[in-house]
This record gives sequence, structure tokens and C-alpha cells, in this order.
Amino acid sequence: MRREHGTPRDDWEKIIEGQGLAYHRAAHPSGLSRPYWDESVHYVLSMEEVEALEEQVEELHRMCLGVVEHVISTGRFAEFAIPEWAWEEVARSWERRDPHVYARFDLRYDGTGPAKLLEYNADTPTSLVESSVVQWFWLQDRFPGDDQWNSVHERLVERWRELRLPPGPIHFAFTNMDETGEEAMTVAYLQETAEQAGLQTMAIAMEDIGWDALNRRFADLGGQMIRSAFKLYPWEWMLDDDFGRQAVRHSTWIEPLWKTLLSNKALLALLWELHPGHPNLLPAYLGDPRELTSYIAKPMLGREGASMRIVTPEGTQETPGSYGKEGYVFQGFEALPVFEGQRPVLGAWVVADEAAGLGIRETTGLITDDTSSFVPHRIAD
Amino acid sequence: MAPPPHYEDASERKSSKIVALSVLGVLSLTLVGIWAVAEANDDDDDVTADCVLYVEGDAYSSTPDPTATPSPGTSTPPPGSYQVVDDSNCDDDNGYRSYDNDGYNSYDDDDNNGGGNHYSSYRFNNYGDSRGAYRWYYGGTRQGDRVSNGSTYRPSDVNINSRSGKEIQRGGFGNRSSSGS
Repeated sequence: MRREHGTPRDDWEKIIEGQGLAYHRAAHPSGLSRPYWDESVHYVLSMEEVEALEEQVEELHRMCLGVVEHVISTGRFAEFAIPEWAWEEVARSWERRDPHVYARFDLRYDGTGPAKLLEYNADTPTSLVESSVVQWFWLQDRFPGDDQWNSVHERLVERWRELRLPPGPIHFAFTNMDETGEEAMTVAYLQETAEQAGLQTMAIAMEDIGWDALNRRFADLGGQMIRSAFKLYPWEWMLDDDFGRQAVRHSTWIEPLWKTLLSNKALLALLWELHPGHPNLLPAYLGDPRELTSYIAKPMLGREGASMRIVTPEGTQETPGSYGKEGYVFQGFEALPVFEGQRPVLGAWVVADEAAGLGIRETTGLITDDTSSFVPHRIAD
Repeated sequence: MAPPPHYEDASERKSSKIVALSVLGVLSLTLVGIWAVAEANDDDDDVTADCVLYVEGDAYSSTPDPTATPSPGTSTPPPGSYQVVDDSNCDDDNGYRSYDNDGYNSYDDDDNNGGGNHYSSYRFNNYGDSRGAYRWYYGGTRQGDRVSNGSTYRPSDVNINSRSGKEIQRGGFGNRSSSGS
């Protein structure tokens, strides 16, 4: 794995905006010297590295599903701060194998050793459009004939095609509160992949979803029953919302309710407990850091790198945020590797249950947050 | 946007063979907040529901509603009738307090509507529990403040309205900031 330089395409901003990255300015804090999409650099991975990463990603995914099975069979829902009234429905969602579509592992990888799992964004992963679409077209423009670890698009289409969903349109729900357009574009892109699979779709804002108490069903703005819906809206918020108790029992939601166990950082502690010493894991504990002298405290339900605290013998570093009321997970801290002053984190995509692609974000700091930049990659020797 | 060329060794490759982007139209439309609203499904039959209170030994009723006694192990209720009350008494805001008889089969009404795969064991709707409780009564005929010739079972594959129309609550999701991760 190495970092290379290149000249950005003329009009690269117009190009990426035309490919769906309309939010590349709005989703990036102002005042930064670097754009969100930075094609002046890219990473090069060997095929051997990619194939090894694919195996590790799929093994991690299997281990994560094992944690879901373990939590449900042992009833350890409280450790995930899931409200007690939802426990049985989470279990049933898993027992039914409610359909799932995609997820993203965040990995620490320096090109020399095994990838280390940082977290699993299995419920509401973003940075999808730039991974699946924008960097793919960059490759065609800049390195035609080269390869890229990125079959996300066609795997998404195939996944929608093989799902057995209730009749009627599948609704795609975004939030009106998203001011950057990132979520709307992510949802719209997924909606497009579903349409390419032949599904009938309809967009709706989460805020506009209605509950028809008499018919006991969710309804869209036209009064039509919502039998299935993709939502880019985390389950922990849905459970806390007024419609939460209806949501766990009505409509088929994608991602499904059982994924609330995977998008929770308590997953990291359970993985370490069930697979201590696994080469792709960092030690992680609930409650306290135990023997760890260098660790990062992650809020169980935090997002976008907020409310984290890195503690090392050299000092403490924190990111702002208001998450953490549910508790923290303490994970062994290994700083992200440095490539020419930048620290990449690998976002490895899983579609259905298979490794599907890679998106890389870089930051100068130790925590990958909304100041990070997305850089493309290619496969070459 | 023209699709990229196919490669002879495509089966060995790790990248998508093609990324079709008719998506752009959809993306743009969505970003500016325009979406199609499908016409309401007009294939459903309409059934009217009344919120009722079961009144025992009532002079209005000569025969009990046979569908009101489906629970095994409970006795046939005495003759009575259903008194129509305000719809608000039957509002089910928490998804757990429900006296709909569709709970007997332990399957949620989504299945009755052919759309879902959820089931429930939370409902405990034997006759004894529901006696004296408010419940919905479907497809009945109103006479004064009484209703008869209907059922307390929720009918499937129909569109249910109350006498006052159908009220859909909105705003139960959302009103948060960024939700992606």
C-alpha cells in the first residue's frame, strides 16, 4: 500500500458533482486547506493486499453476526443500552433474518500487518457515493484499464434483486434536517440501485412518515401503506422516537432492527470477549479500560468521531460532542499509520455478507471525523 | 454518461464492470426535495370502524356477537351490545395497548395486509380482558349510539376508516441532525 500523486482532472468539481457528490463542499467544514474529495493523491494497493483484506473483512463480518447470535441467545441487550421493551423485537428481527443490504467497516491498516477493526457502521453508513461511483469514474478517467477494489454498485443492484420484500414500492427515507445533502444523495443513490434491480421505489422524508393508528400501519404522504422502507436513520433514534414502538413491529425496515447490535460500539467489547487476541481486533472493554494504558474511549452510540477521548501515557486528547450518555467502550489505542503526513482509515464495504469495496479517508489528526478527505485508490503491483 | 468499455478479463477484476448513472436525475430531484406521491391504492375495499364499549346484558342486543368470543377457555359472554364512543378512546399510541382481536392468531396485522412478516405475543386479547375496554368494531351498522352486524376482528385487505375519517399522525420520526455514520 502506497500513496501516489497525480494532477486533478480539469473541472474535477463539476465532474464529481455530476456524479452525485453534490455535498462535497457542504459536508466539509469551511476553512480547511484541503477539499473533501482530493484526487491529487491516491492509494495503490496490490491485488494480494486486497484479497487478504477481503478475507479479513468477511471473517470480521461473520464474527459480528456471531455476536448478534450470542447477545440474543444470552439476553445481553442491556449492555447495548437497548430499551427493555425492544429486546424481544430485536431478537425476532434476527430470528426472522430480516433482510440487510450494506455496511462499512472502518479499519486501521498500514500495509504490513493485519487490518484492525475500529468500528462497524452497519446501520447508516455514508461515504457510499464517493466510494461506489465517484472513485470508479476517476479510475476510468485517470487509469483506464486499471482495477479497483470496488464492485459496490453492481453488488448493491444484485442485492436488491435477490431480496424478498413485501409487495408494493419500497420507500427510501431521508431526513429533512440534513442540511448538507449528503444523506439525501446517499439515499437517492441507493434508491437508484434498487430501481436498477427492478424494484418500484418512492422517496419520503422520515419526518413525513405517517402512522395510521386505525389500520395499524405506516403511511406515506399519499396515504399509501409503507410495507418496506430503507432508512438512513439510526435505530437508536427510531427507538427513542414517538413512532419507535410501532416501528419495531410494523413494516420491513432496511437496515433491519437486529443491526442495532452491530452499529453499537459495545460490539467491539463483545467481539474481544468472544475472540480474545484475534489478529483483526483491538482489545476492548465495557465499563472501564482494565489493563489498557493507551486507549480510546468511544461513546456506545457516537457518530462521526464525536465525543471520543484518547488516553495515552503522553496525554489526553478529546473531540467535542454530546454523545456518551449510554456509556463508553474502551478500545486499545493504536494510532492510524502515517503516509506523507496523512493518516488513512480504510472503509471496507460489505454488501449482503460479502466484501465489496474500499473507500479511504485521510486526516492529519488521530481521529477520523468530518474534517477528513476522501481519496481514491487503485489496484496495481 | 457513456458506460466504460468492458474488459476481457472482467471476471478477474475487483471493480464494477459498469456503473450506470441514470441515478443523476433521481439524485437531483431528491436533493431539491421533489418526490412523486403515488396515488393512494384504490383497490382496497373501505370498511368503517367504530370505537365501542361492550355493554353486557343490554336491552339493545338480543344475540351476542359470535366473533367477540374467540378466546379458548373463556365462556360465552352474556348478551350485550356495542355502544359507540369517541374514537379517541381507541387510539393506540404505544403499540402495546391493543384490544384488536387480530391478536388472537398471534400474528400482526401486517400479515393480514399481506405486507409484513412481524408477529406478536404481546397481545392478550381474550374476552375477559377486553370486556369493559374500548375496542374497534369493523363494518357495523349504526343504530343510535349502538352498532351491530359487524365484527371486532380486524378485516384483512381493506382500507379502514373511522366515522370521522382517517387520521394519520405524522412527525413521529425525525427532527434530528445528521444521521449518517
